[in-house]
Amino acid sequence: MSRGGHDQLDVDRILEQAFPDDLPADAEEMMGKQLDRFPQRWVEKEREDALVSIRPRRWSAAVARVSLASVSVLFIILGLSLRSSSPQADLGSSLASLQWAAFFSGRIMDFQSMECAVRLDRPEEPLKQFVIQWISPEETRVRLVRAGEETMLTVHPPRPERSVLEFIAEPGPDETAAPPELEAELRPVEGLLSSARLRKLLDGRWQLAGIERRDGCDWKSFSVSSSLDTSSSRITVDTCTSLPVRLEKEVGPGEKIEALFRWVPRSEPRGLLFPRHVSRSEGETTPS
Amino acid sequence: MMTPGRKRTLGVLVRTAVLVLFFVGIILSGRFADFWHGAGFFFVVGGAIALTLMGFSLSQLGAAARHIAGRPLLEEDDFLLSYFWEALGRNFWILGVLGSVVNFVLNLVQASGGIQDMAFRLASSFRPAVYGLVLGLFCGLPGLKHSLAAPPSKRPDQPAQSGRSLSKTVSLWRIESGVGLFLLIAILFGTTVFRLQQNPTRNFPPLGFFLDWPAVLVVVGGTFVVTMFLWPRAWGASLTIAVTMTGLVGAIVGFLRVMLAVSHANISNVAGSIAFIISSCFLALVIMVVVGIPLSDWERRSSHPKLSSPLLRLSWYLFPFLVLIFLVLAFILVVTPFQKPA
Repeated sequence: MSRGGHDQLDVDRILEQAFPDDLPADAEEMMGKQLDRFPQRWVEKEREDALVSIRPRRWSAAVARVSLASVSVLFIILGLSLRSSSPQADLGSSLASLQWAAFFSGRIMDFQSMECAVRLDRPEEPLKQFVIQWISPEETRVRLVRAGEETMLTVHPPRPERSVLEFIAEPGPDETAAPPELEAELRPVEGLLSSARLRKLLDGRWQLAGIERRDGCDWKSFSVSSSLDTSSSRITVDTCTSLPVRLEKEVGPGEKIEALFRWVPRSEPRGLLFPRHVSRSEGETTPS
Repeated sequence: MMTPGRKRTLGVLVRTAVLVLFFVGIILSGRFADFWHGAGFFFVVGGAIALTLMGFSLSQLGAAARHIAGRPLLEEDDFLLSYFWEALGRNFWILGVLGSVVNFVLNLVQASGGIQDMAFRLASSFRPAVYGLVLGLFCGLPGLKHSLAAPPSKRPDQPAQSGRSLSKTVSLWRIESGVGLFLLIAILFGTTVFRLQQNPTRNFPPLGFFLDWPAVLVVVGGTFVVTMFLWPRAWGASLTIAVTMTGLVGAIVGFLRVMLAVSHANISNVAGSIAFIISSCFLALVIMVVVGIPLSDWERRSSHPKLSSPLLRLSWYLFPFLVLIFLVLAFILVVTPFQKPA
């Protein structure tokens, strides 16, 4: 064994003699607890120091998060309240124009009895006036007044009414097209001869053109344009009854028709259509 | 006895025949023109490829391609392959639904015909969703098959490949992700703003047709709030879940308003509320596609903490499905006249 090894053994022996392992059990336990507590206190102290150093940063992070959350909640409230009060957005106005068309198409379908006075303006020709009466889905009567002369005509639309969804789903043959035997004099007003034809005439993109107040109700004017028809129409609707009251349309070069509508609900007996005055509350709308 | 090569060739032939029969069935069920929409198909395929480029590295894409050719993967990359196929299928599905929303709005704005013309156009808007669903199913099936199969290293006939693991390749900003982002934004921009600018009949700014500003405020605000609740968990997953939750809330609030407006027969409010619904869904899908999904993919293939995947999967699959349902309801509401109360 080397000299160094002997020295090490001597030191160990001296240490064992100086500090014999004969502590009482309770003293040894207490000492052990104190030794264990020392590193724990050390770690706790380090943690406290770290907390003190990052406390300002934690506060600023918390403030930033609360601010961001408040702004986000403000965004939501603003968005919901704007939705309640804002005017039509671009997409909304496109949707609305379609819905107007669908809505009025449905309203017209509900009314199979209607009377309208039509005035046809043609350049260099005497004024023509028509009084069109939808007697039933299969029969329309037209009274033509020209230069003081009256002519009575009866038209039989080819097919009765269809629902709007059926109208969408089945393009099929165009039953609203004028039959070949239709008299030339009726061509300018062929779109008014039945509810199906009127719906076809007004099938397009509805754009709000103006609002006026009449008899406590809003009368809204729409321009109706369609890719199938180059000449646009202008229709005025009574918002109290949701029914058209006036239609203006160019039917040819320099030719223009102006129609004033009077509607009677479906439940009305057809014999009462002409002479009887029906109040507005019953659903009728009478243009002035 | 059939050799493995012949067996594989026969398998490929059978699958091709089934695929052909599937498409023949689709074509025979109606006119082919009714199903074909070139721009929509390009949107779905191009957008899904761009989104996949954003989420995966070229080496991972190459590994997936090599695996199709029969080469084995490392055991730790095995989960990545099934995730890759699932992600590709998911991208097709979500891009299909987004394409349907974009087409719906474009047709709504650009059509000049009446209700009949509009009804056909709006119905045809759903074609991209069909493409997305079919392509998504075809891509999701290999992932499902792969996840059900045994790990490659345990297969007796395929020894595990040695080499660098693809799962350890963690980098958010790579050339391919930049290219993917550029492609995706170009496709989104080209199909929305550019196509609307070509229409001279509308004077509104093009974005106004897609973004209803109240809906933007609700979706952005709600996304911030929910993301902060989920923070500091995985950002991509948190954002995806937050944006879909908020989009869903926006759509439901919109429907509540629609019902109230219908009861009063107020067409302006009905139209505004439908615009709110469409815009909420559109914005939620766009945020999910441009930010949420690429981040989720990056987190998935790195060692970042992950949120529970069922909620994330609900956001990927259920939310677009609900958007489609909302779109159908919006379509019905647009073309169906309602009665005014007496």
